[in-house]
Amino acid sequence: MRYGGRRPMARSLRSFRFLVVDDSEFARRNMEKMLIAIGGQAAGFASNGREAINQYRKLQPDIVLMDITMPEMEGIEAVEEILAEDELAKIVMVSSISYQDMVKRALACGAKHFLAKPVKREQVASVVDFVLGEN
Amino acid sequence: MRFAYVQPFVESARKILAEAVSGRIVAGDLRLSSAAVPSRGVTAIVGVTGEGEGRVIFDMDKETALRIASAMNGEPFGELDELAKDTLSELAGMMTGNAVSVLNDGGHCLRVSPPTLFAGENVSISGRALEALVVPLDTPFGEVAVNVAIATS
Repeated sequence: MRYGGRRPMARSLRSFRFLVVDDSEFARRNMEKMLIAIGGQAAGFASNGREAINQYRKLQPDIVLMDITMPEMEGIEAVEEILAEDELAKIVMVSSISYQDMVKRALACGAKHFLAKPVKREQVASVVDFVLGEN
Repeated sequence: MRFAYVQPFVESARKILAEAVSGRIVAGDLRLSSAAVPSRGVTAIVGVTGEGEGRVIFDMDKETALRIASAMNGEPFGELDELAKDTLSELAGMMTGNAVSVLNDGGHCLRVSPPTLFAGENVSISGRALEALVVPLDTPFGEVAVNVAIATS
């Protein structure tokens, strides 16, 4: 199934809906606080790549913040599956493992950007603004 | 034990702890340890594989752990509940992930496992006999010991 052709224009940064994917509850809450502080609304959460794919199909968020190292299915595999269904999906990888080869691997699989943990609100705002603004 | 591995782990821990507790972190004197590690109460262990094999241990007492988890969440914790433990695991993951990123960008090839957190009195961590280097980090909330033991494969 493909979702191509949706979203002819980026939504206003003030009203974007987000999906946060991380196996750490702390990380999910922390990211949620930062995204809400910059005007986002929580569409949903997932704690592994498999859940992320299901949640993406169901919730159709404007942006996904995706951890890499997770049980059951890792973030990069989930990104590839989501993009195979929706080539317009906007996904930002978030990981504490951020050496150059890992960042390249994440971007090569189709992620729009990469945030290294620990993330700061200003960085999140800047990346979300950039990713939702590009068309 | 390669000393080149130790400094990035200590420096990453110092930097990330400083952000987590919004305070200054002072590193104490480095010491060598070859014995089992007696836990002070809360211990996070991260396995290291690749060109070097071993583990990194972050060890602190319960009060320090609770205060760090409280600072990171912006809410007080009276007990080490699941969220507090998850917060400390995530902290250990960030400290080691950051260090491995620095090392790998410098030409090394290391991987880290997800952290395992132990909490309890009278716990001792032992394993393959590895010489470890230990650096105490003095935080505003108490001491966190960084114990690095990585042998070249």
